[in-house]
Amino acid sequence: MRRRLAVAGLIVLVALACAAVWRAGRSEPALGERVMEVAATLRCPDCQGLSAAESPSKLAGAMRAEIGRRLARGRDPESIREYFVRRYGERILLSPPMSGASAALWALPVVVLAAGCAAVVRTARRERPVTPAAGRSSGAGVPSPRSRAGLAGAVLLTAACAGGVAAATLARPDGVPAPAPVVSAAAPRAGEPPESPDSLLALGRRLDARGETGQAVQVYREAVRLSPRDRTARRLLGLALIRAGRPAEAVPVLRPAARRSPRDPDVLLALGAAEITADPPAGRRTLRRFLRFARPGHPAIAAVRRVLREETA
Amino acid sequence: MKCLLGTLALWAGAAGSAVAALAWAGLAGRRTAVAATAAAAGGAAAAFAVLEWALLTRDFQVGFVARNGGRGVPPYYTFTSLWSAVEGSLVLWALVLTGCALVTGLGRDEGPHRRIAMAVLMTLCACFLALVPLAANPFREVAVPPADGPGPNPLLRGHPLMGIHPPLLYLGYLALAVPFALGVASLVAGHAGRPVVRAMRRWTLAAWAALTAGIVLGAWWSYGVLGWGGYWEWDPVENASIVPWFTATASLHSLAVRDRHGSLGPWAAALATAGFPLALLGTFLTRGGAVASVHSFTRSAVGPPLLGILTATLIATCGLLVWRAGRLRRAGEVPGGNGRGTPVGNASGDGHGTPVGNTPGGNGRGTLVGDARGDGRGTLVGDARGDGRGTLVGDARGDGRGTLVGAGVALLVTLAFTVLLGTLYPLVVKVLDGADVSVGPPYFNRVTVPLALALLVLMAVAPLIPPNRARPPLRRLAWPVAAGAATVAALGFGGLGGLGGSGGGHGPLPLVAFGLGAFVLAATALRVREVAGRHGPAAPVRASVRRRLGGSAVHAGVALAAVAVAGSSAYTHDTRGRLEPGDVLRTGGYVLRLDGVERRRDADAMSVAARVSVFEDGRPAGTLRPSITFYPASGAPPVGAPAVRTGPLADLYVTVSEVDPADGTAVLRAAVNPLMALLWASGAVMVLGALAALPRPAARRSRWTRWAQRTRRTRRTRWARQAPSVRTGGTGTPAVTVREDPGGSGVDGRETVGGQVR
Repeated sequence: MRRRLAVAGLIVLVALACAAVWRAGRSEPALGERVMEVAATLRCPDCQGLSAAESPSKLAGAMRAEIGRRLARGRDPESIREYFVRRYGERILLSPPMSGASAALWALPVVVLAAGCAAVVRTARRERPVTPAAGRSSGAGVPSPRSRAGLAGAVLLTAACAGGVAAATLARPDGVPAPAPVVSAAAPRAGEPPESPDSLLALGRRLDARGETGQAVQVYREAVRLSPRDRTARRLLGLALIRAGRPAEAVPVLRPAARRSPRDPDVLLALGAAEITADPPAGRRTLRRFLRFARPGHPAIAAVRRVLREETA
Repeated sequence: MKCLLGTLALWAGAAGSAVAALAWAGLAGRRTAVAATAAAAGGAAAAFAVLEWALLTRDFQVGFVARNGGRGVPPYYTFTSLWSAVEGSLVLWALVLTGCALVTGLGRDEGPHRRIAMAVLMTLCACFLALVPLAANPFREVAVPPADGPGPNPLLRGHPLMGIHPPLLYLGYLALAVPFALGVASLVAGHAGRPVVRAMRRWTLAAWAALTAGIVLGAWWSYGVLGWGGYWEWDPVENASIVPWFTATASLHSLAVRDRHGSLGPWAAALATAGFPLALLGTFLTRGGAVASVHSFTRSAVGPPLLGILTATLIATCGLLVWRAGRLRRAGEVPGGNGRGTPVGNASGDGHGTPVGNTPGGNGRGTLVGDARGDGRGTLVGDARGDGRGTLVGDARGDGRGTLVGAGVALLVTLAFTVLLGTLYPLVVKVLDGADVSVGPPYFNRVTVPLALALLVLMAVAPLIPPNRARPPLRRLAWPVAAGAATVAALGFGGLGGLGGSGGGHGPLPLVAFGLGAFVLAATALRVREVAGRHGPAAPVRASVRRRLGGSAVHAGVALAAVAVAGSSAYTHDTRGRLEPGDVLRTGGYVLRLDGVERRRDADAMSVAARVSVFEDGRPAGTLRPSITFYPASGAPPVGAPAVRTGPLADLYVTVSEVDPADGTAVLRAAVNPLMALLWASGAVMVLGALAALPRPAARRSRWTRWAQRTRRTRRTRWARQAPSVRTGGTGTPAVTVREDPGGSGVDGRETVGGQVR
């Protein structure tokens, strides 16, 4: 009797627990939480390793606001993510999609788990029969000739050493760039002759071309410091910052240049590109100005029109 | 002078390591080998000491000090700045590695395995000790010493945990080198008996404890310094530490199973050897500059040589595994011998092995003699106590616990693989495709959380299965299931008390995690009661019992950690706002008032702090001072220092991201992070449990324990002579001496009987 009561109690408890889990799964989260959920899947472009949900940066704040606006308009999270991908590229996604080439990323763990479980089951099956494994010992114990084992060991050792040396030498050329000249150029020590802005810009362009955006930013910054009125330096710094995923920093760099030469389409383009993420309304205004002053045939016109169409949509 | 001294010490260490490697490989006697090993450790210690000396005396002629020292840095952070950049980290790395090698070299003799293992270890030491002066010499002399240095990275000088977190993590990584070396030795030798398995177990457990402590303290550091309120972000450096942790956990469990079998199987060998190369890989990825991370504070030229060492290690290990692992399987399976006419398990001529462990019929696992030294229950007769479990015949249906442990190992390996895959994937895509892809928390959470939940179930159920039973006794699971279900029901319908401030819209996941946590805790409590009850009040004295209780404590710690992680990630809520003096910010029952802004200038730093008064339910509850500090000399961006008010249920976590001294406004973020204290406590429980389970090595045995053991041995020998089983085993006394191994035999009476039947 007591035992039956206990079983019944257990069943009731488990049923209650299932109901609680079901209820928790059904309740609809508030808008703020949904914003955070979407933002948690997007990278904060101007910080390292943080999602847009956690980052305190301005840009992440702007992204959250944008997500909130779009969610309120009834967009689904997937289309919002697509919007950000169009703007920043795939890198903005904190985890790759389950489709396409990255499907392997999602499938491989399952494969490994299945293989592991299969191995465990096989071992369990094999260990169950109690028969002394006499049959298996045939041949097992015959030691391979000592010399052959030694040779194989030597081959393995040589292969390991050769592989190590090869890896080390292969990695050297493009492994870690020697930062020394760049650093000395970016932060000239007292006593050394200061670099000319032009040579700095040339160095920055070289770095940029090599994909060293972070160091290019440093060099351009130094150039802007040396000649703050040079709009080319500002434009290059702004573009490099945008490429480095830090458009919010690019805006204050580019605005003085745009004030001084309000009709330079290149400056307007750079500023607009920076603003469109950090401050979309201002970005739309700047890009429209760009369309007004750009000479016909400017290569960016089509792209800007597309962005503006998307923005207003 | 210090430059020369330090470089010389490093080269002396490298030379000592090379000599030791050759000596251990058989070119010289044991004395020479130990002396050379000690010389290597001495060289590394001297280099460490010289570097610390240079840092503390602020000798800017030394390159490392010129780059990482500073006159305004307080002494404690000057001391810790040794491991704030890659050159110094490598010196610490070499010191810990040679230290582990020396301890292994001085330890008990484990026959030919130890010689090979030591040769492997000393080769690694030689590589690293040569790598430091060649690729990243901290002692390079500066031609024109600067008057003052920039100081260490600002993030690395703001939290006292900097002093212990990195050394502990290094200890964890490098202690894994010993099981790695022993695994390589076993593969080379083609067989490994119980003493080798035990040594691997001991070192893996030690590494596990250090790694756990290092990881938890690292999470704490990141919570207390980085200021976004979280503690784990699946950042590459964090991943680099968790992957070896997963494999070490898996290895511990598979070694425990192999310990019962008395020999090292191929899977256990593979797992034991995997840990160290994975730690190396992580170090290469993060310290070599291959991936960017918030924790990798360096970019340097050690990448290529590190990659070289890593590749060589990987090729050698994988090659050995492919070539020799089959031999280990055969050695483990064939009872009585591997064709050379010697018993496999223990007969490696190591001074411990006696034929008894390998009496025909017992494949090194259960022996009749093993029973006799149990606790008086585990005899042939004693086990048939009529409780339906321990009878000789009825229960030998299969090894349910072994299968579940195997499934757990598979899960852990999958976890390690997933994290490694996610960390490497961006690199692979970058190389193949040139595209920038990132793999972040959404991926890791989605894949690892289900695996972790499954693991929780296994770690609750597996210890409750009596050895050699196929299935868990359902009746024993009733209480844990009831506890879990009651927790879920109470939290789901009754609300979450202090936790769920903002309603229950969080989805079912945290509820499930809480329920599973309660399930594991209840099951663990049951297990502890069982173990303690079986062995009486003096139970914890015995090594095997201590190990089981320690293991239970670790399981409880993991369950608590799961609860804390689920709670803190699901129920955090935060508020941000720009406040003027006198304004208030409300978050989860707290009211925060900005009283003003303070500015401070130290020797080499400028900081601004927001003075915030906290009110809890209307009552004043102290003042917090979140701050931002700027170190002009370092050229780095300013770092924020959050202010944390720790409570038993939830932390109040306040950061300031902007301060305008002109009008005294500040941008504050206040978050309530629940269960953080529980998370740190669970880390402590795990580490203490692991330390309790750690067997004391024989070399450190005091005279007192030796005496106590001698008396016990005599007593047991006398007792064993009367036991019928010994007569069957035949060899009597020597067997009993073997089993006195203070490494904690752990051969439970019942387990042995079952093994015997097989």
